[in-house]
Amino acid sequence: MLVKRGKIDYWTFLVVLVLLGIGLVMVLSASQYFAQNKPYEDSFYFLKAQAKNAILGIVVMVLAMNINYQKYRKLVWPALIGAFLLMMLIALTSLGSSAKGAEQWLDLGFVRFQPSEIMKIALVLFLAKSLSERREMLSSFSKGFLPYLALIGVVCVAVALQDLGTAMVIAGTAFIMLYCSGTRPAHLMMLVGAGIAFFVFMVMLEPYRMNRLLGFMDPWSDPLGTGYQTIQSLLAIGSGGFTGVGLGAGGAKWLYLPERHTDFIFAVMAEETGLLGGAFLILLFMFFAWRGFNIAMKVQDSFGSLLAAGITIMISLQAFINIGIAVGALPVTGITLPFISYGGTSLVISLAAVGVLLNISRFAGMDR
Amino acid sequence: MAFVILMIAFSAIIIRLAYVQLVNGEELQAKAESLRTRELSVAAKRGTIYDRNGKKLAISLSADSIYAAPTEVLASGEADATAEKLASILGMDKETILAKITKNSSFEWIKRKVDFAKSQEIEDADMPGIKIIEETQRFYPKGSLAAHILGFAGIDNQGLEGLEIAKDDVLSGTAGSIVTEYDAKGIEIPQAVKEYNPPTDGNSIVLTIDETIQYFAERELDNLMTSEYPPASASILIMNPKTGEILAMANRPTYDPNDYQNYDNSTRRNKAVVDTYEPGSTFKIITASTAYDSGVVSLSDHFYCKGYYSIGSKRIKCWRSYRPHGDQIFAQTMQNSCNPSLVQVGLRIEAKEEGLFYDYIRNFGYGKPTGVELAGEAAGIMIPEEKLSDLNIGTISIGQGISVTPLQMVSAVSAVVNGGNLLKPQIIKRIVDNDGNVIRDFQVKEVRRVISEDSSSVMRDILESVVAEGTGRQAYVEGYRVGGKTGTAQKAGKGGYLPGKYVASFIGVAPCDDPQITVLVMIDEPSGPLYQGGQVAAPVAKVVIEDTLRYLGVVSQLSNLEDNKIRGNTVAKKIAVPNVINLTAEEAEKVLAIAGLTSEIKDGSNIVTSQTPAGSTMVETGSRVILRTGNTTVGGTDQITMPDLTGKRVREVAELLGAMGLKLKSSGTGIATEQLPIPGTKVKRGDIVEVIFNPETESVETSGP
Repeated sequence: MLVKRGKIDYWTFLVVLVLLGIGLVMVLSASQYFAQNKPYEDSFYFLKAQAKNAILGIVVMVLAMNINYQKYRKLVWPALIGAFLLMMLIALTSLGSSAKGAEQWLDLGFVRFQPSEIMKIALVLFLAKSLSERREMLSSFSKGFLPYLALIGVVCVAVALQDLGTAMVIAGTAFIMLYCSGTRPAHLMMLVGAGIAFFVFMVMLEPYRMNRLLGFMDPWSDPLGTGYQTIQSLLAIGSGGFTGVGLGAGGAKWLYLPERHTDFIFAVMAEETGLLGGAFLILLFMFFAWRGFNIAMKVQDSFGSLLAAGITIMISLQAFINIGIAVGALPVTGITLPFISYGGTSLVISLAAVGVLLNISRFAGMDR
Repeated sequence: MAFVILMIAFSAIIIRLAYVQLVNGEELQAKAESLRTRELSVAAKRGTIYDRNGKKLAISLSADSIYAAPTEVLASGEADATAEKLASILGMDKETILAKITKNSSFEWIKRKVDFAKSQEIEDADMPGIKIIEETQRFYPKGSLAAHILGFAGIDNQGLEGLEIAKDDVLSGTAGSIVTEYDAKGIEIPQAVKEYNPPTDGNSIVLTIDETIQYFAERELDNLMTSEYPPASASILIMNPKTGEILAMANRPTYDPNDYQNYDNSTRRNKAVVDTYEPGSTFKIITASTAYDSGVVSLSDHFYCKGYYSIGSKRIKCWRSYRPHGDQIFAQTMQNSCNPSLVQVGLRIEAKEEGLFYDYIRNFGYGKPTGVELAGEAAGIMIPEEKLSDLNIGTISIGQGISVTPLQMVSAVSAVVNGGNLLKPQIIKRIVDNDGNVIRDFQVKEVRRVISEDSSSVMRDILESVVAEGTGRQAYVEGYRVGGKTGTAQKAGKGGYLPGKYVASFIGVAPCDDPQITVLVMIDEPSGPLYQGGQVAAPVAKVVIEDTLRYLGVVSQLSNLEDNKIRGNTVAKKIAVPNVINLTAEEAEKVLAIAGLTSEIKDGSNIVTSQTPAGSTMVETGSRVILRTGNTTVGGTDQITMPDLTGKRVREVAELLGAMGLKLKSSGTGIATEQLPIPGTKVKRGDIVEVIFNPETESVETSGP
């Protein structure tokens, strides 16, 4: 347990900073036309706000980088319960301020954030601790698998009620973490079945989700309705070609592409920087995933290993889903692109998670 | 394992991205661009239409048009104030404007082609979303001159009639565009790159039309239409028979292309090209040419007119059946426009070879469009050859039972007189671009040889004789050798010919020794007492021919009046020189002139003492007689020689005897057959000469169709 504290994995640190930098540039490019009109009347409005978020996030990341991750073991239950309560609060009170599609914001006056984002990291933390301590029981269905399934199911339903995209990320992350910690594949297949059933249930609950699904499969069938977002995203991406139309020169941001500086920021980037820029960004996420998994493999402590894997999966999976939506390969759900999309909670939580990952890397002996 | 799956998933997304961007990229980009860009067309300047001398007949002027970008008007929140201001400047209804500028669209015309002062005022007012674009507007500086040739262009400068539509591709040029980008709410992106594709202006057309000659034609038609007895419609066509170039083409009724909306469609018909008519006797030119060229008649052939000609049970009557023409030689049948004779001529052609007449008719260009560069040209109507009866051949010979366009008629007669070649009628001389470079030059285009040079030359003589001696007399222009043929066709209607409705026409050629112009005057449904081509069309043609020849600088042949062909029968007729000795110089000149001779007086005294050639010498008409004069008579006052009066008409005899100081005692009508004293007898002034006239003998009629 007393592994000597070493250096952080600078590659991870670097790739995150590069992603952050790209994010700031793209937020400016995607938002400046929208921002120059009322009510903002400042082309740099979103850039400034995102820069503040980035600074806050970096501060949090650096702090987390230097806090021994073992200390989080004690935070597992409070974090999970706290996140759960916050979500309840949103669901039950009018504190939730309405953003597009679903109520997912908690406005405490001084700060406004999305509890689902907190839930995301709280569950990763919980799973890392619990799975690392109960490894020998995982092969059992009733004692090992079922309790996790129940918990994950409850969390996902709670999140999905407000934010289906984040729920999908959580479910996917939990699934992979269970797999990594030795759950029987048969059980996981059952989980997949349950997941599909759950998805069908969610669709039945909110018919607009079905429309989104259909819109994804054939966006041109309803170009002004369900297919609108996918079409606009594809139009932007397609316009980019190989080298892109040039930074700032894209046309999608002239209010054609919805969520242009948040969920669909990848489309703006692909339009302006082309396949070169788009593929480069995906490669950066792949590189990040590679470094993250490396850390997870090299850390001797199984809690640290699972936590590192969970964080890496959480971020990579979210990036994958976001870009998959943008290129029309996945149905549209509201989900941000980590480090790139405009949005405070998402960015700060992601950077905090990276901070934790970096702290774990200190014990992974990456330089060995 | 989880890592590998994630990497594969990411790779799949890169592949998908590459597919979207590289394979679908172009299509998606085009869609995206069309979604956010709007193209505003910038009209090309339409080419100018010039007459053959470079005078402008149709030009394009620039004019400002006002349009609104309603999305921008709405975004400004000043729609109401803007509408009010525009209404006051343009003098339009405020509500109409308000409706336009607040419409759910990105482009809305407010008013097109407004005065410069108004557009300036609007520009100064600088209203949000209200914009000005320069357009061009067609203007026809000469008003209705050549209106049917030019046609007109509409508000979008698109050709709608005449050359404007027939040559729209040449004149219109290629519109340019301003491509502007808009955001999803329809607001113009200020920082977006505007793409300006300048328009390519249209090419200009130089017509074969001569503005001045066109004016002569228009003027005469105006005179006709404002005369006491205006016809239903009329056309004049003038062509250069050697090139096929149309020098003038005018119709009535007409219209002003600058104001075409206010004229009935019927006024816009270019009847010279799109309408057909039965040519009547003018078509006898074709019959005669064919007959002569195919060798079925010679100039010395005789034809007898008994007032009609029977084909089977049908009789084709002569227009002068009340007083038949009797025996005529070939040229005289034309001079007299004698129907039975020409029917016989036509039947002779068909007798020589079945289908020969139709072959010639087709070779002259009938039955199909001439291919002139004008829209809507008619082909004419011909009875199908397999249904052709002898009766049809007979009527076609005199121009009934065939329907032709005025242009076909002019072009066929041009072929008759130009040496025998049918030429394609040309209305366009050349096409030039904006810098004056010739894009296309229209050369004389020979369609085919129809008759021989010799036949053509004979036909020119015959046509000249028709004007000099025959029914075309009223087209005679002093000093010029005018040839031609009159025509009076009954108009066909449902179930036969319409009583009292005629198409009177005259087709003329001048000068006959070297034709410069072919002129057709066609008068549809002449009103009033006169309706024959020789009466109503020939006089109009005379004025047009005279003015045109003078304008073209064709040397007057006044000094060549003695040329035998001017007055006399072209079939070289020899006459006996009258003995004018002992007449006064003045009387002698008159007597010689009446005989068709000219005179030259030497010395300048009063009484003719000698003449060369001497009396009774046979000379060609038009020859010159040299007179010598002294102050005393030769051998006393009874030394005037009695001239030969036989064969002369009453009026001629009276004139001649009057000129010689003799008195006429006549009996009978027609032409002189007997006289007392007999020719050659010496008589005194004041003696009475008895002349017996006989109507039975052939005579040359002086007026007719």
